[in-house]
Amino acid sequence: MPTRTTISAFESEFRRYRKLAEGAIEQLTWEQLRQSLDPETNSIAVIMKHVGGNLRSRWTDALTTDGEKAWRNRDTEFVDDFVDRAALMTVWNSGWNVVESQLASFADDDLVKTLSIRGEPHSLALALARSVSHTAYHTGQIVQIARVLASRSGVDWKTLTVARGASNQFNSRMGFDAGKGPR
Amino acid sequence: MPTPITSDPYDVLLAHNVWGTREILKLCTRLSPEQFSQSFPVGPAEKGGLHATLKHIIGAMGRWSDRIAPRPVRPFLGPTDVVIRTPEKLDEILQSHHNDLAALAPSIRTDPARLINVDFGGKQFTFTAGAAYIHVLTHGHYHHAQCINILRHLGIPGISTHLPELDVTDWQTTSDMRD
Repeated sequence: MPTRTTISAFESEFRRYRKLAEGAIEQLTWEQLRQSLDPETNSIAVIMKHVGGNLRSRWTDALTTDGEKAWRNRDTEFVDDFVDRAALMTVWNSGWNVVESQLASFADDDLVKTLSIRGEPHSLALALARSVSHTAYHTGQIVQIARVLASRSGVDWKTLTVARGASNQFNSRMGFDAGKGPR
Repeated sequence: MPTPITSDPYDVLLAHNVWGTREILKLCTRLSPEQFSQSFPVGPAEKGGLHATLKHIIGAMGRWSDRIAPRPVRPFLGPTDVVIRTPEKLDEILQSHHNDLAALAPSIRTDPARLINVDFGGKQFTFTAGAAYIHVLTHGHYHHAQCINILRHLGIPGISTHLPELDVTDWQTTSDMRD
């Protein structure tokens, strides 16, 4: 069975940021998701659209096609044209589903394989580092904006860190399953 | 086709983490002490703005390096926010904590599946060394976004209007990690 320790570490880190973002998003109303803190910053909805679009483009057939797909229109990712919350979540989930299914197909031996992004060669390891960092950055934005908006509207913020009784879930997010050992 | 950049994910994340944090510290050297520690209404910044957020990023690097080593975990960086460090002083600590993390890289490469046990507030958690290492190296970038947002909200001409891009691709343009 191929070793997946490092790939599994990336999986858990991606999963952690998804959970953080979704834990923040679910505490806001639809109107709040589309609200910017100021004219120079994007709303959470727009950031979600960008992250979803980025992940879908980068990780669809990642080892055989360029990470910047011809069908991606990056500029429109910064336009809020959602009809409702479900449409936003569809775009968000589609990106996450692609990266999660691609990661599930990789093993540590694949980290040295070469793929391309905008024609530039990348090792899979570099592409993963680049993608998880990009996702972490935008998750940081989402959580910060969400907390400010929640604070302004008097919403009682539910903490996104380890909750009482959630230790097993946290272990799993960090790449450890107490029943099976490290994944 | 040119040679692809390094295939070692730990090298990439390690170098990007210290670079991004340092880019923000450089901007902070241009702030007044009051601007540097001005509060922002959420997270680590709530009681000390950029100073507190950067202290959190850099402190976590040191504490996670201790957990991964493993050795006794050093105290939080500054017992209270009364201790205000300059960006230059924080940069010195950043370099030291970065060195501590970098020293662990060979053992992580050799055995990323090694299990480490961590105590958070009396609760025990178990991680693989690889997962813990990747976690601490992306944790900083999560907070970099928040630092950039705080810098924007400070509204300082020449700083808030010229904020840097801190992606891995931006770091790549400043370094040579080809192998």
